[in-house]
Amino acid sequence: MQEKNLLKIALISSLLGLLILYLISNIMQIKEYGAENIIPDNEDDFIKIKGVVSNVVDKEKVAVIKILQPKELTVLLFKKDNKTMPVKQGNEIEVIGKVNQYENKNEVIADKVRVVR
Amino acid sequence: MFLEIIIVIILGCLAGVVTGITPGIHINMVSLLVVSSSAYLLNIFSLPSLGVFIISMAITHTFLDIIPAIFLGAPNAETALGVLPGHRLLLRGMGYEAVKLTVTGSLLGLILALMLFPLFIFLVPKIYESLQIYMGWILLAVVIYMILDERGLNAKFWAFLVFALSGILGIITLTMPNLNQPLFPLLSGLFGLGMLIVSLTKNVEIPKQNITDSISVGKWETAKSLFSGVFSGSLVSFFPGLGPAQATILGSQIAGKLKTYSFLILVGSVNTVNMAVSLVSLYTLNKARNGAVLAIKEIITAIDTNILILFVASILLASGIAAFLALYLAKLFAKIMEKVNYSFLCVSVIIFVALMVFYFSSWIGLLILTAATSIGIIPNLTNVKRSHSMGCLMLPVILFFIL
Repeated sequence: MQEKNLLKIALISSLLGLLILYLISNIMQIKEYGAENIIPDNEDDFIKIKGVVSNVVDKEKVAVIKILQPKELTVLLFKKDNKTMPVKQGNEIEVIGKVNQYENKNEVIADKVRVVR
Repeated sequence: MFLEIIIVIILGCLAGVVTGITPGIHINMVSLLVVSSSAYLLNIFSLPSLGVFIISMAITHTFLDIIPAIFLGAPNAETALGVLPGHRLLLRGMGYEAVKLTVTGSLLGLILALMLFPLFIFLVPKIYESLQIYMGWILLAVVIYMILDERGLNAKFWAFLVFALSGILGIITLTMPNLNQPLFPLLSGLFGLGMLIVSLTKNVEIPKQNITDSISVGKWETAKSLFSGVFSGSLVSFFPGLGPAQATILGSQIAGKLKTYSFLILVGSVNTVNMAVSLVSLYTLNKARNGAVLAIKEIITAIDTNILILFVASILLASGIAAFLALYLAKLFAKIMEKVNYSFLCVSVIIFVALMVFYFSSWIGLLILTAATSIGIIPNLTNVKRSHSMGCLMLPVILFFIL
């Protein structure tokens, strides 16, 4: 095959890949929510939420973090290696996790917690 | 997220260039590094992005790793069988064309395999269990056919001896405890250093490398190579212990007598298809069949349809980038080869490989390298096919399946 044809095919492959990537990344994008926007239908959805930590209860295997968003929301972080949580009251954190309903209240089971400041 | 994915694909391609053109550095090593650093990296990138980095690196590696095999005579498991035909073209001043043929196989084979993904996803869970029973016997039949295919009793004897010796060496090497990177001394000796030593004794001089576009392979020959490459590359990606080396042998038997050009297309397609289709094993059987996919499985524990589509799209983009990079770097290598004394280069590569073997595998590795090189010289001296040296991987796998 001639080099120019090979390069044309490579270019088409790249462009097709880019297009599919653009479409799939929009579908996979984790939506950012406010605590007041989470509805029972969101149960089991992966969401992103930011808020200020109002309280942290750091147990051996799980940390229970309450964030103000401004509405209060409970975040559960199951620890993989029993380390002390680096999150303190007053920190602004970003949580990515799954919505869960417990006793008719929304909570988030966190996959990832990141301290913003 | 889109921008993050593009960035990791570019980074993955760059990592694949480094692993591809550097003998002794394999994507498995870098993939392992990503897994061990994942706790830190997840502060910067998302989980799917780390998977995309690994798969982009792996695909790019399969496009680039033929370059050291052809220009330096330093192959890995995936490119070992491409060394001799590639070297033949190098000696005719057509090293660049040899790379172009493998890139053709990689790119077109990959596109064909991706189009067949839905079929693989449907078929694999249904046929995997029943095929596994026969795999060892199929490979044994291929080996027996290859030996009997040699002309004359003398050639058949030497073919059997090369297969048996390399097979025994393979079993010893692969079962040796506490040996790092066992494949590196084994395959470098059997396929790389043996050829370089013969080149040194014959005072081979690399002619001027022409950056041409003159080689033309007929559509039927190309299609034969691609389809057998996609078939064999995909088939072995579902089974443990099998890789592109065995797939190339299987594919070359399926395709029938292949000329040098078509064989290089087959080598390219098998290598890349095997990597891409191993994602199907992960998606359907939750089994990882190579180091890169194992690393992805460690990071992203469950692959859903969205992640699979993300990976397929990343493969399309990475393969386009890799094709450009492979052709560009092949031109660069071809220009460098003209300025370098080939004997000096051979000696340098032999010393470099020996040092790398010693670094990874210590004195044992050097011993294996010496034994493998001794066996690797035999096909050159007796005019039997070099592919019999693939007994180093075929015999252990056949015994694994049959016993």
